[in-house]
Amino acid sequence: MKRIVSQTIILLLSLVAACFVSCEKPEPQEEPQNTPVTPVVHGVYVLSEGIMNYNNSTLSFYNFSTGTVSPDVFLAANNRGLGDTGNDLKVYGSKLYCVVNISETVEIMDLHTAKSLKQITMPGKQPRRITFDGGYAYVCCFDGGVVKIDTATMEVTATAQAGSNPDGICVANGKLYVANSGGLNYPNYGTTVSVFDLASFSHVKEIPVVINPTRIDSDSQGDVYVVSNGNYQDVPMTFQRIDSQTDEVVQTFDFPVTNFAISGNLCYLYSFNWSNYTYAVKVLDITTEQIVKEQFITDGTTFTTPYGIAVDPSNGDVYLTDAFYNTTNGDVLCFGSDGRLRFKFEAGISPSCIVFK
Amino acid sequence: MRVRLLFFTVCLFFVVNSARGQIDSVPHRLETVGVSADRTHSPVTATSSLQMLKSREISSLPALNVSDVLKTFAGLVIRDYGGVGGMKTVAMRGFGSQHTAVSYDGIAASDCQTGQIDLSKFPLGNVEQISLNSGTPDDIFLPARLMASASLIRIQTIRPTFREKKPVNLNFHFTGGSFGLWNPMLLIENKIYQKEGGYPFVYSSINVSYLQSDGHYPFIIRYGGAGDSTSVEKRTNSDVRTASVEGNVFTDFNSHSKLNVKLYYYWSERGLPGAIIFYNTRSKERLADEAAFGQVHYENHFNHKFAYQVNAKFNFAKQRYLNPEYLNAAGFIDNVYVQREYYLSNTFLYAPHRVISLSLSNDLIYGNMTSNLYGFVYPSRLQVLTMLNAYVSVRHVDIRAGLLHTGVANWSKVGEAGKNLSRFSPSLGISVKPLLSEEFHIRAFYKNIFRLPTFNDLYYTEVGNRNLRPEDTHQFDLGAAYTKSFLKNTIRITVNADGYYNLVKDKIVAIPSKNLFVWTMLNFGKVEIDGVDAHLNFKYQIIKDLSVSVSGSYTLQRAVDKTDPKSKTYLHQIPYTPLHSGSVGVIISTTWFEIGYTMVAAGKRYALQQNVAANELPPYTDHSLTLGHDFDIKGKVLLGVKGELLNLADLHYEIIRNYPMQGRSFRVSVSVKW
Repeated sequence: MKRIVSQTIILLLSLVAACFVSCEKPEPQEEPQNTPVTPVVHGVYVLSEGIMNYNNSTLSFYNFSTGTVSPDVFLAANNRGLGDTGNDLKVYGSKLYCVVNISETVEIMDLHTAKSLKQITMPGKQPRRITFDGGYAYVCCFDGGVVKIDTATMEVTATAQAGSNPDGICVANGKLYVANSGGLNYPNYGTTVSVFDLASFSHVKEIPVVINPTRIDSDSQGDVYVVSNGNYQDVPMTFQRIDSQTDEVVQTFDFPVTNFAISGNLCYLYSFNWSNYTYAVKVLDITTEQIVKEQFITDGTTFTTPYGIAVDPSNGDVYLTDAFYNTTNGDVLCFGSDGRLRFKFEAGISPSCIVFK
Repeated sequence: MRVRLLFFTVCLFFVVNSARGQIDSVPHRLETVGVSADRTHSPVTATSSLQMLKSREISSLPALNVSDVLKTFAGLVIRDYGGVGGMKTVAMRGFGSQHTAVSYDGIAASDCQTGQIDLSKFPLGNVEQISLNSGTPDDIFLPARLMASASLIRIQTIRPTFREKKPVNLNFHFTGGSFGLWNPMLLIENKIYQKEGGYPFVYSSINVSYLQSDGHYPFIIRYGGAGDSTSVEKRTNSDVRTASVEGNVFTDFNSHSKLNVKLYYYWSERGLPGAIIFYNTRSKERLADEAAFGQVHYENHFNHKFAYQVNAKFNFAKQRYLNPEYLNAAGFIDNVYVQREYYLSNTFLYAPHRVISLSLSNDLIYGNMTSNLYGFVYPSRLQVLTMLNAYVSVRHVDIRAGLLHTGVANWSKVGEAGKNLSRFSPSLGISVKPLLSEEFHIRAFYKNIFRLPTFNDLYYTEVGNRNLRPEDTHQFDLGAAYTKSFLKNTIRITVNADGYYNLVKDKIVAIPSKNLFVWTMLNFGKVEIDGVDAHLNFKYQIIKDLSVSVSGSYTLQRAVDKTDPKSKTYLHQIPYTPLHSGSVGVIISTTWFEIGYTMVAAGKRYALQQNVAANELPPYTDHSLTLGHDFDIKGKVLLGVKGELLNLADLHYEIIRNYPMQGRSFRVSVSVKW
C-alpha cells in the first residue's frame, strides 16, 4: 500500500518536473536510453568487490518479500564464484551483466536465476565498467579498450580505443562518454573524457576535465556528470557537468562528490574523505543544478565508509552501502526518500553496485 | 567435539616429536666467564622458551631450507607462499613476522624495507644448528640487537674441524627432485695455519651453492565450496634460480680470543606467480635479488671476570621488481630498491662474583634506502640500542633481567621523516629447579618489546604514514620442563610446556585510503593472544644398532582482535593463525639406514579478519618420509644418500589463500665428505 502511494507521488513529481524540463530546455531527449519500464521489483542484487587476489567477489540477493539475504546467488546458481574484483553490475533487458576486473571476465546472467548464460573472457584487458545502448553493451577496460558486445548473440563485435585506464562509461545524446582515469599511471593521471559516436563507434572528441576522472553517468536531459578524484595532493575531488550538445564542461560544482546515482530529477550523491573518514550525503536537483538537501540522512544513521549508492526506480528508496574498512563484510542500508533507515542487510566485502529486480 | 579436541591434544602430546634436540645443550665455543656463560642453556633449564635442532637431527627431516625445519617447532606458523621460490616467513605466538629476529652466525639479518626475513633464502647445506627463542635468550653475552625482538631464530653454520694432519676437508652435496629441482653445494675447508699445540690457528671455509627449480607443479583450482567446479592446472611463472658464495676465516689466537670474518654474496632471479586468480592464470611478474654482506666477530675472554666482543657488519641488498604488462603509460613497472646497512656492536661481560654476571651491549645500526620509484623519499635511520643485563644463578634459582634502551633517529631527503623515538624495554626471566636431584624446571618470563615501522610502513609511495608509532608487544610466559633417563640411559623422555599470554598494541595495519588501490598504514589494531606450546621427545636405544626417537609438538593459539568492540571482527581469530597446530616425528635409526616420518598439521584458519565461512581455509596435514644412510668408506670418505618423499598423501592445501602448496613430490640427495 505504502509503496503504491509513494510510487504515485514519485510519478506525479516526475510529471511536474518533466513539465519544467520541457519548459526550460528546448530539446528534451525522447526515450531515455536504458530505462526500460521496470518490471515488478522482487529484490535487490548487490555486487561486492571482495579483496584483490582473494577471488571473493560475491553477488548477494536480498528478497523483498521474505526479507532474507542469499550471500552469493552466482555461486549457488553456477557452482563457481564470480572471481576476483567484481567491478560493475547492470541490468539490460532480461539479463544481468557483471564486469569482473582482475579475473578479466564479463558474466552475462539470466536476470531471474543468476545463471551464467555466457562468460566473456578479456585476457590482458582488465574490464572495469559497462553501459548499454540500442541492443549493445559497451565495456571500458583498463587497457584503454572499449569493447562492444551484441546483447542478443552475446558476442564481441568491435573494439575501440579510449585513453588511459578508462574507469567510467555512459551514453548520452547518441554518444558514448568514457572517463580516462589514468589511475594506474601515478602521478600522471588522466585528464580527459573520450567521446565516441555510437552509430559509427568512432572516436569524436576528447573533453578536458579535472585530473583523474572516474565515475560518469548521464541524466535524462542530456547532461553528463563526471567525478574527478583529483591527484590526492593539491587538486581536490571535483564534480563536473558536461553538456552533451556542446561536449564541454559547463559546470564545476563547489562541493566534492565521490559517487552518485541519478533517478528522475534527483541526483543522490555522497562525498567521502578517505584521510579522515568523514562523509556527506546530499541530494542535487538536476534540473536546477542546486542542492535540495544538504543532509539526506535524517535519522542519525552513520557510516564508516560509504561505498555504493543506488536508487530503486520503483519507489525512490535510496540504497547506500557501508564497506567499513574494506576487509570485512559490508552492509547495505535502505533509506526512504525521507532519509530514514528502512532496513539493512549484510553483503560481501566492499559492496559497491546495486541493481533491482 | 570437546572429546575429539581432547583426543587430538592428547594424541599430539603423547605420540610425539622428531629429532628435537631437547637433551642437547648449546655447545660452548670458548673458555667462559661468569655464570651465564658457565651454564649450558638447554631448553630444559632456560628461563625463556627455547627449541633447537642440530645438523644430525635436521638431516632426518624433510627439509630444503630453514623454514622447513621450523615447521616442526611449536608456537609458530610458517607463512609459506608455496613452491621452492615462494616466500616463507615466520609468525611466532601470534606476532607478525617483523617481531622475530633472525641471526646468521651471531649477527642479525635485516631488511629495513619490509622488516621481514624470507627464510627460504637460508639453505641447510652448511647449517650446524637452528634454535628458536621466545622472549630473551639466556646467553647475556650477546649483541643488544638479538635481544631486541619478541623472539629470535638463530642459525649457526658449521665451524671447521680437522682430523690430525689433514689440511683440507671437502664436502660436496647434491639434491635433485621434482619440478626441476637441482641444488648442488660445495664446501671446502682449509687449515691455513696451525701452530703446534693448537693455538694460534687460522682456518678458512668457502661454500658455493646453486639452486634452481622450474616450479611447474600441479594444483587444483576450486571455484567454490565443496562440490563446486574445479580444474587441474600447473603453476606457471614459479621458476627460481639462486646462487650464493660464502667465505669464512676463523682465527683463534689462543684459547680465549678469536676473530671470525665472513663474506657473503647472494643472487637470485625468480617469477612471482602471484595468487591464483579465477579464469585468469596469466602471470608475468619477476623479482631479482642481489645481496652481499661482510661481517666480523671478535671476542676475548680476558680472565674469569671480564670478556668483550665486537661485531661489525656491512650489508647491501638490491631488489628489482619487474611487471612487463602493467597497464600504465609505460606499459610496464621496473622498480629497483637498494638498501644498505652499517652495523657496529660492542658487548662487555663482567662477572663480579660466582653467582652473578652483568653485561652491557651497545649497538649502532645505520640503514638507508634508495629507489627509482617516483617521489621516493630516500629515507635513512639510525638506531642506538643499549642493553644492560644481569644473570644470577644460585642453587635452585636462575634469574635473568634486562633493560634495553632504544633511540631512533629518522631522516629523509624528500619530505618529512618518520618520528624519532626513545624508549625503555624491560625483560625478566626466572627458572626454578625445586629438586636438585631431578631435572625438573619451572620457568616464567616477561618481556616488553616493539617493532619499528619499516621503511615501507613509513614512506612507501601513497601508502606510507610518517606518523606511525612502533607496534608494541608484551609477553607473559609460564612453563615447565622435565627430562629423565631410564634403564641405564637407554630411554630418555623430555617434556616442555609453556602457557603464555601476549598482547599487541598499536598494531600496524593497512586500511584503504584515497581509493581501493591505495591503502595506508595505521596504528590501528590491538590483539590478545593466549596459548600453549608443548613438546615431548622420547628416545629409546633398543639395542646397540637400533634406536627409536618419537617426538611431537602441539600449539594452541587463541589470537583475537580486540581493536573495536563495535566491529564485525571483535574477538575474531586473526588471519592465518590456526587455533590448533602441531607436528609428529618418528625416527628409526639402525646401522644400515635411518628412516624418518614427519607430519605437520594445522586446524582451520581464516584468510581474513572476519571469521565467516567464506574466509575459512580448511585444516591440512602434510606427511613426509625420509630414508637415508651414511656409508663410511675406509674411514676416509663419508658417502651419504638420502631420499625424501614429500606430501605423501598428495593433499592439495594452501597456507596462504590462493597460493597452492606442492602436492606429492620427491627429493634425492647425495653427499660426499672427504
